[in-house]
Amino acid sequence: MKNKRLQLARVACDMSQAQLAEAVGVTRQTVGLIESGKYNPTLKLCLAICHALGKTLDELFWEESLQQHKGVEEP
Amino acid sequence: MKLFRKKTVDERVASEVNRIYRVSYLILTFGILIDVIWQMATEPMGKIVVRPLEFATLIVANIICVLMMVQKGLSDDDAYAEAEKFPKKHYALLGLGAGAVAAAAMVGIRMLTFDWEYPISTMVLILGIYFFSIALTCAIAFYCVQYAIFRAAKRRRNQQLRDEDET
Repeated sequence: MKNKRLQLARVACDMSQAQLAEAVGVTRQTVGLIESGKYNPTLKLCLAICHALGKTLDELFWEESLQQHKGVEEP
Repeated sequence: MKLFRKKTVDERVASEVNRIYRVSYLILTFGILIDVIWQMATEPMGKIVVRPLEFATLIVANIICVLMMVQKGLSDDDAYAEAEKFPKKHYALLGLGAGAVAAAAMVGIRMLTFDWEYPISTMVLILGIYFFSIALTCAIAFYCVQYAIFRAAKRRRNQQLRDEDET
């Protein structure tokens, strides 16, 4: 699943993928893969990204449960 | 000094490279193993001749790998890596499988290099005994080694837990 919130937060901070990658110590490709949902980063990297963008883990990485996505109420 | 500064490695790159190294390790190990088996099987029965440096490299490399895993409290690289109870059935089956494959490889090479001077029934009997003795020896050795690794890894994990409790 694509991480659009990360992409929006990065653009809001006026950062390119390369700049964010430099700030958190990974390659630009890794940032691209995280944004496109093709790579699951470790908690350490998630935290580094959050710090770099001034956001919380919830704001960038929390995913609603599958039921809520489908509009079904949880028991 | 900047030249020698440790560079941060991208976690995704590290994980991809580790996976690639794993494949290379398996290919290298099995390649050397087949060569060692070839050397053993092409000699007359009962006589074992291997290239000492090659054999030593294979053994030392694998012992170092096992020691590093035990140091981290791991006994395997699968779901049983940190099992609390020794998975007897799993390792018995793996041991038998590995033993059967090794024995089949050795018997296969023997058949290729044999002087078929005895009657076929005698040859079949000899190769049958050869197959079962190798398969059983390998299976038992595998099981025992795996059990020893499991015990050592579990002891290490318990020690790590005690150390964490103390701090």
